[in-house]
Amino acid sequence: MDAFEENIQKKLMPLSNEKKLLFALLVCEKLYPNYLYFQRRCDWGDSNVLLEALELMYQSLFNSSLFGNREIEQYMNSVDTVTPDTEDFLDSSVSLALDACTAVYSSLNFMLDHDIEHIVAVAVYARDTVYMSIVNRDELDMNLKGMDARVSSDPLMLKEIARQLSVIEELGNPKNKIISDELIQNLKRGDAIIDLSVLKDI
Amino acid sequence: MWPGEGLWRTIKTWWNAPSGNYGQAVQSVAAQSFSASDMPVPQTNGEALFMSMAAAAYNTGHSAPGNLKISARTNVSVESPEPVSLGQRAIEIHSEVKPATQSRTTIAVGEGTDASGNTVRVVGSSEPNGLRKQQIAALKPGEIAATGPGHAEVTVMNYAKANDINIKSVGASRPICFNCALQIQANGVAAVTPLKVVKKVSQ
Repeated sequence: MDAFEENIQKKLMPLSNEKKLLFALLVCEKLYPNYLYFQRRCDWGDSNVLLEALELMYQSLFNSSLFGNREIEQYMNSVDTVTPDTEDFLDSSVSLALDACTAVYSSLNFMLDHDIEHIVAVAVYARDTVYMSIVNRDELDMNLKGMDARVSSDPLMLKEIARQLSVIEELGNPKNKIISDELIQNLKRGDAIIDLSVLKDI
Repeated sequence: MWPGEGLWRTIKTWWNAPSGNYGQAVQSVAAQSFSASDMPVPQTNGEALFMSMAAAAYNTGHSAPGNLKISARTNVSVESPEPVSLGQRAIEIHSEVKPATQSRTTIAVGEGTDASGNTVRVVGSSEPNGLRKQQIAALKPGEIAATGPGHAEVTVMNYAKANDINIKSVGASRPICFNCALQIQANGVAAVTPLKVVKKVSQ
């Protein structure tokens, strides 16, 4: 577990399970457009499966007993079938689509066992997506000394980490004790976490 | 009286008798052998016999010739001087990412020599953008990250060719597919991890 994961886990820890799930859900929504982009470019996948899973999670926030484990597992299986294998596609968006899927899968998994590691994993998928998009955008040589520091201090990376921490802080704020539509809409604000238009073909 | 009962009674009596000077002597030898000043004095001849056998066994091992000798109080290093196999290294780097990511990605490691004759390892991923942050951080000196499209094994070989590295063998974290196996063979490289089993289609 690296410093980023440890920090996120520490900050997520005091939140209720519903708020942890909401954090994951908000990350999944930020990653969802990347899957759509991949689906259009590679003519593979089914974004509706991800949308339905996100809908299930939203409904569960307000009524945790609405869906049983069996139903959640069925959704996990569906997400698994529309998750691309990176060996099957040459397009650089495949990794971003993979992260979008694994984020939803991990969030559903959290609904089953409430293991915080699934939520931390969701944060990592978003961080990885931003990392890979910066490497791709700037065509960076991974063997260059200081490459990691350069990506880690890129404005796009700093913005995403700040966004995640800000969402967790808002969720932990005592004035946001109850999850409301207003709170969700407020937390949804902000741009996409990466600029898909600058992605380069490898 | 059953046959041998007399002998049995004699042994039993001797076994349970106070060890006396014999016990003191055994304790002294054993304390020296084990370098333990707090070695207890055996109370009976039986205990003394066992202690003397233990001391003898210890001394026999301790005076074994040359490189067979391992001190009882020496920590034996478990670190292997041999480099980790290519397949094992591929799995190690692969496992730096979350299991869900592992299930849809492959890492390949190829070993060869660069233009200066140094042994290097080239690490490739099935992800078009190359290795992930955690995987780059896990690379050791002499390991080079490769980027490029295609399967991890192909990425390794293409990168090596473009950078004047002569790859001799390659291993991967998931079974190597048929097409990659063909390309590996065509390049005169040895595949050191299992190939993907192609399922037969029944007629």
